[in-house]
Parts: sequence; structure tokens; C-alpha cells
Amino acid sequence: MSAQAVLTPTPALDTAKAVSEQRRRKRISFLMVNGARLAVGVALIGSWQVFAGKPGSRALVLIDEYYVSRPTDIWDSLVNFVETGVLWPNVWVTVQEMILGFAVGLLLGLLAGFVVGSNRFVSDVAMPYVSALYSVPRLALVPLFLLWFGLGLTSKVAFVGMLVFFLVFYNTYAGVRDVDKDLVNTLRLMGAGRWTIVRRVTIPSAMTWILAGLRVSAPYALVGAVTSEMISSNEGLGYMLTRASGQFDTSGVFAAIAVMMALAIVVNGLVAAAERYFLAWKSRGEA
Amino acid sequence: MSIIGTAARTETTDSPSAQAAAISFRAISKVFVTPDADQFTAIHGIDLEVEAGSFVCIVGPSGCGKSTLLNMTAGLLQPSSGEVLYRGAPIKGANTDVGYMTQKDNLLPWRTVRKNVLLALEISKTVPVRQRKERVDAVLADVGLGRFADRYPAELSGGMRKRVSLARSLVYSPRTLLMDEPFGALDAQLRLVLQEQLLELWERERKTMLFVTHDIEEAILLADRVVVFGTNPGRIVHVEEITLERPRSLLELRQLPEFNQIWSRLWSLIGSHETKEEQ
Ligand SMILES: Nc1ncnc2c1ncn2[C@@H]1O[C@H](COP(=O)(O)OP(=O)(O)O)[C@@H](O)[C@H]1O
Ligand SMILES: [Mg+2]
Repeated sequence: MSAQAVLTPTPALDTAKAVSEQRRRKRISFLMVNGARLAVGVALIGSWQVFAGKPGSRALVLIDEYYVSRPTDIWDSLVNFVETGVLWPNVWVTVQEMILGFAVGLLLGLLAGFVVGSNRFVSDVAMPYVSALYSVPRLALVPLFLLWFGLGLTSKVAFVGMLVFFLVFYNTYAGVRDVDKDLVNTLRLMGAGRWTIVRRVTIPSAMTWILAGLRVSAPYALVGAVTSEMISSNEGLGYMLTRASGQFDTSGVFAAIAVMMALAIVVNGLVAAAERYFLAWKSRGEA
Repeated sequence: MSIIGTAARTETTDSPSAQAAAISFRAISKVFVTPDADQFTAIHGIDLEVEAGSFVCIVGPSGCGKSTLLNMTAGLLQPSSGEVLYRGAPIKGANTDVGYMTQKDNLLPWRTVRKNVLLALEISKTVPVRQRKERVDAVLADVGLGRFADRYPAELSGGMRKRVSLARSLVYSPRTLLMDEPFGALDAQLRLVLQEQLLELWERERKTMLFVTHDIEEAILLADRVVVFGTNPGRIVHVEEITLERPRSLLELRQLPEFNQIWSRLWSLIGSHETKEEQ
């Protein structure tokens, strides 16, 4: 009995050790992953810098900088954009189009998704039409939108709104249909009315789907805004890009692309924050 | 007191005995149509009266239609023929008078344990707002989950989720309780505690109980009447009145020769029907 007690480590000590061991492993893997990421990034940008240049001007030049520019030149272009006051007004135009278009698409998508998803008859009637509209190549609609809404902000907002609408609509629709009937019945038996069920079951349950819709559609807001600017505009990031390209300013094109990437990162970060907020219970459950 | 047979069926709704009945099943059959258009008779010819304030247990092999019967009582399923009366009136739509603890726990995964139980009070409005939290915590403590009130359902074991579901159906004091194998997933120790608590509660409040279980011992311990179901199709094969003195305690009951006689009788009934099914 007592020999056994000596041989068996006390559970408390054991757990504490296991926990600190687990923490140590986590920290190491965090450092490794981020270190590797940084290394890959530096290697890519570094070789770009080294291998791109004027042909014949120095050793190691493999690609003509006329086509791919160089990281330092891109940086200079970016600084130039800022100094000449070109960057921020154009970023703001694009961001405005994204926000307004996203808001319109989101609201309409949620509304339509809920209505169509929660009514069998409406769904049976409407869905073939929605699918038909959805299968129209989106870019083909830009000229129409320009015709209807003019060359300014409204046509861009409409285009972004349409892109976002379909994605949000389909996800909300699927989410509403996916609601667990047993949960609905549980609340009905407690005496819950229609609205209580929507608020307590349908919305939270569809939230997973809706947020997936947001995650997919948020980058499309940027795509939509920039695309329609490129087709017809005199402001915005898309316009900056086409203008630089028209002047054969490769660095300027890459600088505009870099700004778009930064914007995309911000947007994705916001969506991830929304997901963390609304789906906190999910990560808890998996722990 | 006869609960099966034609006598009960021929009585009109407003006769005294029908009024005392909380739930009446009259010549109930349920035929499910499978996707490939086959018909499957889940239960056939069920006549049963559950008197107000009585504790009725249903035992029987799985697939004999026990859950189907509870679903009908809750108004979630319509019989193919016959009618189910609740307090003398046909059930139309969800029966909000019953608390239904289903076989599945049906907790909202995005709400903590406490908020899941609280929801029943928010919806039923049976307890004043200020006393709700206190009441919820008291019920959670009763089922032994006080420490887990702030966890999410996915952070609990199956047995713990069952207990949350039990707490939720008890907290708002519905007049009638339907329970579908509520203690099936629990260990013997805990099951005993909860059985005795349920008995205590029932003796205090005399709710009408329709309780489904696999466990014959549990049925005898709890019930005024044990209804034995057979399969193919699901039907009543025997009704046993349990006249054992109350209050009861399982540990004491096990010593009684009467208890053992009943147990053997019910066991042989269920056993024989189960083997018949396998032929
Ligand atoms: N929705 C349904 N469609 C088809 N068959 C069903 C359905 N629900 C139950 N059944 C069948 O009816 C029978 C009784 O089911 P159930 O009431 O769940 O049995 P129990 O609860 O006694 O185990 C089973 O054979 C089951 O397969
Ligand atoms: Mg069942």
C-alpha cells in the first residue's frame, strides 16, 4: 500500500507539469510557425529585389524590372502617392464604396434569405429565378449599372451590393433551412411565439452560416469596388491602378495592388473579429 | 379504474371519468410512410387513460413506439387514426401544457447551462423576473450541476446534458411531464438520487407523469401503473397496477417479495415479446 503511494506521483503535481509542458509546446510551435512565415516573406521579397532589375546593368538580374518592378521602387511609388496627396482620397473613395455596398448587400441578403428560407412556398417559387440571376456573369452587369446609376459612387455601390447580396442571401437561406426542428419544437412546447423562436433559435442557429457568408463576401466588396472603378471611374484604387498602367508605371501598379492587399487584410481581420464575437460559444465548446 | 378496453372508449368526453383523465389515447394507430412509399405501422390500437396526478410508466423494447406516443401527447405528431385527448379536448398543435423531456437533450448550443434553463422561465413567464436566476440556480443544484452553470452544452458529458434538460423541464413547473428515458445515460448512483428527487417532487406536486423507460426496476419504483408495450406493431401487452406503499425507496423495495414478483412478471412479458420479434 505505502510502496504504491510512493511510486505513484500525486495527481496535482502531475497535472501542473502536464499543463506547463503543454504551454511550452504551444509557445515553441508559435515561434516556429511565425519564424518560418517571416523567413518565407523575406526570401520572396529579397529574391525579387535581387533578381529583378535593368537587364545587363549588374549581375544576377534575371527579370526585366519593366515588367515586375522591384520592392524598393514600389515603396518609392507608395511614398510618392502619399506625398502628392493621391493615396488617401482614392483609398477613401474605394472604402466608401465597399462599406455602403456591403451594407446594402448584407441587409437585403439577410432580409431576403430569412423570408425565402422560412417560407416553403416562397422558396419553391423564388429559387429558380434566384439561381438564374446568380448564374449571370457578374461583370456583364457593370455596363447596365453604369447606365442606370451613372458614373459616380452609386453604380459602384450597386455593383458591390449585388455581389455581396447573393453570397449573403444563399448562406442565410441555407442557415435558416438548417435550423434544428427539435429545438424549435422545444421552444414551442414552452409556449414560445413565432418571434421568440426566430430570435432565440433561428437567428443564433443561422449565425454560423451568415458569418460564413460574410467571410466569403467581404473580400468581394473590395473586388467589386475596384473592378467597377477600373471599368469606369476617375477616382478610387481601381482608377489609380488603371492610370499607372496607362502610363507604363509598373511600380505604381504594384503600389496600388499592395494597398489593395493591405485593405483586404484589414477587412478579413474585421470579419474574423465579428466571428470571434458571435461564435464565442463554438470555440468554448471545442475546448 | 380499467384503463384499457372498450369501456373507456365508449364513454363520452364529458363523463366524470374522462374528466379525471389528463390524457386519453383512443384507438390510436400511427403509420409512417417511408421515402420509398412503404408503409410502416409503428403502433396499433392503443387505448390508454392517464389520470390527472398519476404516475404512469411505459416500458417496452426499443422501436415499440414509446417516443411516438409521447410525441403525440405533445402535439408534435398526429395519429393516423384514433384521437388523443388532453384534459378532455383533442390536441391541436403544440401542447404547451406539457413539459417534454425528449430522448435527445435539445439544448441550445449557443447558451450556457444557466441560460438554457433560464430560457424556459423567460418564455413561460411562470416566475417573476427577479426570482428567476435564484430559481434556476436552485434547480441546477438539485440535479447536481451547480458548478457547471456557466459552461456551454458542448463542454458537458452526455449525462450532464441530460440533467440540464431535466432541470429545464422541471424549472417552469408544467402541469404534465412527459419524460423519455430521462435517466438512461446516467450512472447507477446518480440515477438513484435523481429518481428519489423526482419521486419527492411528484409526491409534493402530484403532476401527471408519463414516463418512458427501459428499466423495469425504475418503472416499478416510480409508477402507479406500468404499461408494457410489445413490438410489431407497437401495442399494449400488459398493464400492471403498482400498489406498493408510498413514499417508496428503491433500496427498501428491492427487499420486498412483492416487488420481485412484479419484476419477474414484467420481465418475462418483455422478454417473451422480444424473442418473438426476433423470429
Ligand atoms: N418519422 C418516422 N418515420 C418513419 N418511421 C418512424 C418515424 N419515427 C419513428 N419511426 C418508427 O416507428 C417505430 C417506433 O419508434 P419510436 O416511437 O421512436 O420507438 P421507441 O421510442 O419505443 O424506441 C420505430 O420502428 C421507428 O423506426
Ligand atoms: Mg424512444
